[in-house]
Amino acid sequence: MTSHDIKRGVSLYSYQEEVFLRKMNLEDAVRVSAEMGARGIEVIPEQSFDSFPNLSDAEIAGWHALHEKYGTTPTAYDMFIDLKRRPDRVMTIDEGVESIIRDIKLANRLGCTAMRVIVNTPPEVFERAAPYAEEYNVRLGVEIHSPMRLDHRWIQQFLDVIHKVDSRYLGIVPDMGIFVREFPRVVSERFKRDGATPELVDYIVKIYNDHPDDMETLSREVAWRGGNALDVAFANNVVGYNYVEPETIVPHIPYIVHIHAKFYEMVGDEREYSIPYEEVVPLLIAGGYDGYLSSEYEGNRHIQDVEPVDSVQQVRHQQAMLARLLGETATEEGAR
Amino acid sequence: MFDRYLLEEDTLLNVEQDGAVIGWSVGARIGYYRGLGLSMIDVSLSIDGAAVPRERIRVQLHGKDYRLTDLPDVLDDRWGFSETVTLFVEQPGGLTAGSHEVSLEQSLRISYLAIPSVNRVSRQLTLA
Repeated sequence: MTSHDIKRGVSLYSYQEEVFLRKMNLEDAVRVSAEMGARGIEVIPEQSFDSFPNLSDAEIAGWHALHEKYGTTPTAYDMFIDLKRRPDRVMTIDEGVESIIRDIKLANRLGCTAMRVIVNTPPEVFERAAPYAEEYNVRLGVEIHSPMRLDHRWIQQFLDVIHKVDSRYLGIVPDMGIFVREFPRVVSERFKRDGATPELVDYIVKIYNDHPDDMETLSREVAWRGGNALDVAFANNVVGYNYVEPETIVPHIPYIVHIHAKFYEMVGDEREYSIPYEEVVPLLIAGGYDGYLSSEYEGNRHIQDVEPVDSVQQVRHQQAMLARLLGETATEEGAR
Repeated sequence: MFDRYLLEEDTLLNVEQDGAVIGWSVGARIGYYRGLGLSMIDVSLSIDGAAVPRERIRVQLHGKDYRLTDLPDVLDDRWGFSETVTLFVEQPGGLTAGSHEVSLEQSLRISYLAIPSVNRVSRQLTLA
C-alpha cells in the first residue's frame, strides 16, 4: 500500500442517541473512540455543551484534560449559522460574519484546527471569514452533503471563493453520504414499519439504485401508483440522498479540510451497506489527502423504534473497516 | 429524530403556590441533535385531547420563566441538547390524579431547512 497520512477520527454526532438518553457522557464518548484507535475527536459544541456559546474557562480546561487523559486530539468544530434566528427577517451578512467569528474563536479555545461550515452559510460570509480563520488557525471547509453535490451551482459559489482567495484556510468538508450507491435499507425498512406500502418502497429503492438523473418526479409517480402519504414522504426522502462516482472527488482532494465518514449501517467490519468505502479510501490515499476520516454514524433514528441503538458498536465496525482500508496492521494499536 | 423521547417519564406534576394548585407541568426535551435558541422554538400542548391555549403556557429553564408567546424575542437563551425544560400550564386546580394523555408538538425553525422541523409525540403519563 502507498504510504499516506490519513488519520482516523470520530464525530461525536455518532453517539447522539446514547448521549441524548444520558447513557453516555462526553468523557465516555472520547474514551470509547480512543479505544478504537480513533484519535481525532470532532465536536458539535451546540450538542456537547449546553452552555454554548458561553463556555466557561473551566469547561474548556475540562475538554482539554479529557484529550490529555485519552491521548486524543480535537479535530473539527461543526458550526451552524442561525440565519432565521429572528422570526421577522434573515440575518444580514454582517451578522453572519459576527456569528462565524464567534465560532472561529471558540474553535480556537477548544483546540480545533478545522471547521465544518454548514452549507446554508452565505458565500460572502465564508469569504469574509478567511482572515479570522488564518488569525485563529482554524481551516474552514464548507460541507458538501447530499442532496448537494460537488458540481451543484450552490457549491460552485464556494469553490469560486476558495479558488479566488487561494488560502489553505478555505476549503471543503465532503460528507461521504454523497456516495450513497445502494439506498440504506435501515431507512426503507423504517418507512415500511411506519406504514408505507412495501411494494412501492421496494419500487422506489430500485429506481434509486439505478441512479437515474430524473428522480425529481418520484413523489408524483408514487402518487399515480396509488401511494399513501407515507409513500410520497418516502419518495421525497429518497431524493435527499445522492450518488456520484467516487472518482469525482479526485480533483477536489487538495481542497479537503476534513472528511465526514458518514454511515448508516455497517455490515460487520466488512463494509458499509450503502457507501463504497473500499473504492473511496484508495482514491483519497492516491490523491494525497492527509486529514481525518471522521466517523459520522446516522443510523440511530432509523432503528430506534425496533431495537436498542448501539452507536458505539457501529462506530467500532466502521473504524475496523477504515483501519483495514488504510493499511494499518493488526498489531497496531486500535486496529483489529 | 428523537420524537419518541420528547416527554419524560415521571415529570407530570401539579404545581402548587401558596397552598393552592395553580397548574400543572411536564418535562420536555428538544427533538434535535443540537440545542437551539429559544427564538427559534415553538411548542403546543394538548391534555386528554384538548388543546392548551398558548397564552397559558410558560417555558421554564435556567431559573427563568418565559411566556410561550414571548419566545420569539428571546435571543439570549437556549434550550440545550441535554436539558429537560419544564413546560408549565396555568390551570387552577391542576389535573386529576391518575393517567393523562399528554401531546406535545415542537416546531423548530432550523435555518438550513426550508420549513420548520416539527416533532410530535403523545403519551400516557401518570400524575406524580
